[in-house]
Amino acid sequence: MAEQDNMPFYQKPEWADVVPIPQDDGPNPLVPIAYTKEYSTTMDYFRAMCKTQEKSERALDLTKIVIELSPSHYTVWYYRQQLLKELNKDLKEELEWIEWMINDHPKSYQIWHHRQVVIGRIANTLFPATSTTSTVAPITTAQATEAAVDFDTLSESQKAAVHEMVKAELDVIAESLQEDTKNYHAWSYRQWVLAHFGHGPWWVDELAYTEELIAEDVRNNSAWNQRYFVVTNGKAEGVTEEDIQREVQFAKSKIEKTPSNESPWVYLTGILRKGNHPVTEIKEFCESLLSAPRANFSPFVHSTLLDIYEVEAKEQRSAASVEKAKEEAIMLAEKVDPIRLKYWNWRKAQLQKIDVLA
Amino acid sequence: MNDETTALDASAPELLLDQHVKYIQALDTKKNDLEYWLTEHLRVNGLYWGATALHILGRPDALDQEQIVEYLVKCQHDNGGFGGHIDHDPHILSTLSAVQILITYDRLDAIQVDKVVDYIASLQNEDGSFSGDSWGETDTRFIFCAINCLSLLKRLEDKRLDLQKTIDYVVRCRNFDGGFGSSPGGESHAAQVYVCVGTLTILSALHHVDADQLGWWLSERQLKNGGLNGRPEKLEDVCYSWWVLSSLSMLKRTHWIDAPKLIRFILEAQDTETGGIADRPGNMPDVFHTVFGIAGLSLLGYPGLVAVDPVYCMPRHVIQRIGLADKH
Repeated sequence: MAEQDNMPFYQKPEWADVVPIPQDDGPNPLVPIAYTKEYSTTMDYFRAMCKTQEKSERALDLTKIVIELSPSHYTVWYYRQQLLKELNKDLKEELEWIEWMINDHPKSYQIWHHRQVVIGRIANTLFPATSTTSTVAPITTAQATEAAVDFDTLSESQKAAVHEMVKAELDVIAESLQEDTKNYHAWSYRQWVLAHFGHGPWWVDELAYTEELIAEDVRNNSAWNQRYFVVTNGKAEGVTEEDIQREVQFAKSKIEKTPSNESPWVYLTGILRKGNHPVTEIKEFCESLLSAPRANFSPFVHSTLLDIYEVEAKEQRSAASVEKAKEEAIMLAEKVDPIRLKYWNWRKAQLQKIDVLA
Repeated sequence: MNDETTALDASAPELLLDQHVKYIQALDTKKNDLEYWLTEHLRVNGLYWGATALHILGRPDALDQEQIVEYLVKCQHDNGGFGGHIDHDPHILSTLSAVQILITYDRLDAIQVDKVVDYIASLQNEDGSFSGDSWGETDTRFIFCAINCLSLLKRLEDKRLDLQKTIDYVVRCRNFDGGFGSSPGGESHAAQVYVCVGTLTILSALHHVDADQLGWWLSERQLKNGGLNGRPEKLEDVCYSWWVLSSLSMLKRTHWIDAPKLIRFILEAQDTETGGIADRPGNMPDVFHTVFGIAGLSLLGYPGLVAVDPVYCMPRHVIQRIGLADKH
């Protein structure tokens, strides 16, 4: 047995009946074949399997070999999904293998999608009553309102099972995010997991998770985006005024520490808009920052003040506010952010158009 | 295109035009490394990147057109879609690339256009988005590929499509910072902004975008060294010269960033030994960064380059030839 394990798969007896199909590049190849023997032979067998669409254990084994050699080869992934289904394979085992693959290839689109399809299928089997059954592909949006599993309608034991499954999944993703906190694929999949199973208790934990990541690196924009996602999607009843106020305080506290950090500023103004609060509400906060020496060089302090004074100028038709806004635009163009000089000059020109009281 | 003449930084390196042509020509003739074959599934995309770069460089005949057309025909499947290479499953990414190359070469006659339309129409989902292939992965990238391709083929009127739902889906991907992600709630990313703004531009629905807010977010992507990043606090990368600039161009706000500094950044990422452009100065070049660096330079009005279309990333004269240039 040991001897057989070291042998290339195509020398094993169970492959003897397969006739490998060499790459067909036509009579005048634009891309001549010149790659390693192992890879080329493997692909020759893979082509043979694809041609007959053989649904067998050996075909499943072969897809694993091909994927490990070339994880972005999307054709092989789809074939593997079909094989898993037709052969009725244990999907838990598949999850373990995917986790191992994620470690090696965290930026492969296919691996994360494969995991999503597998988890979606497991969920369909466990909770068929509330899951969408119309399609093999899971719900393809990260909107909590379109959850495929309606958590609230589950029995207590089902709730516990879903919760455990979601927690395990979030742990796998968190492990990958630990290596690269901004991995787009990992975050997309994380949002899907959170939303797919409805409004379960994991949303509260997720808010704490973003807080943890932001504490580790206040400039992690992915974590800020996730926080917005959680605050705006995490509850069936939607965002409350209490949420808005808590988040405004949270963003302000981070801005005070790093006033030149784009993420909390965009978050702060975004949360205010979400709660229908005017940006002028943070005027005192911004003005008070100016006295801190570091903040005076933050383009975001000045640009937010420019926005605030511009709103005031329009609302109150105030010439004094126009002047204050202009000062901010000039400050940005000349001192704080000269690389975007033309943008700030454009903003200044817009101010001239405001109809002020004589 | 920038309406002002871009002032060039006199101390910036020169564009190594001839070396880039040679670099691209060499990609397909003498590859002996495994890496080349591990990117086999991207072969059709690679051809689009190479052919487009050569057209913008003013050397449209530098690759053997007949051979490419012959090869692409072999990549088309019975269901109408194109695989990334011979024997690879059809995918929307390679389907768009194949159509772009064939239109650039004015050789749509070589394939069955009706079948391509059938394939793309089959990929639209209930919510208006598009899947990339029959495996079901969705992403705003695939929406753009579908809409872009149908628009190039003049088949957006196809009765099987629900384009209002597509617009609605894209609008749902807009974030609190004004940018767009790969799905609703996904982090804003400059490449996802390009595909969403491109989709809305083609579908005459750009009014859904707050151009000032998004233009500002895009301008914020420029770093002190002149390069552009794709998300806050990420490294600059030459390919964002395209994703950010083309988006700014569709929003008519290209002039908000410092063009001479960006030109200098792109030119410094050229490989002076092998030709080609890397993601940033000092790294290894590849054809992906080469085309988007060159397309970015063209968009900035760099002298001696053929004008590129900001929506389709194809030569502007090709888009004019097929009558789509007045649409945006």
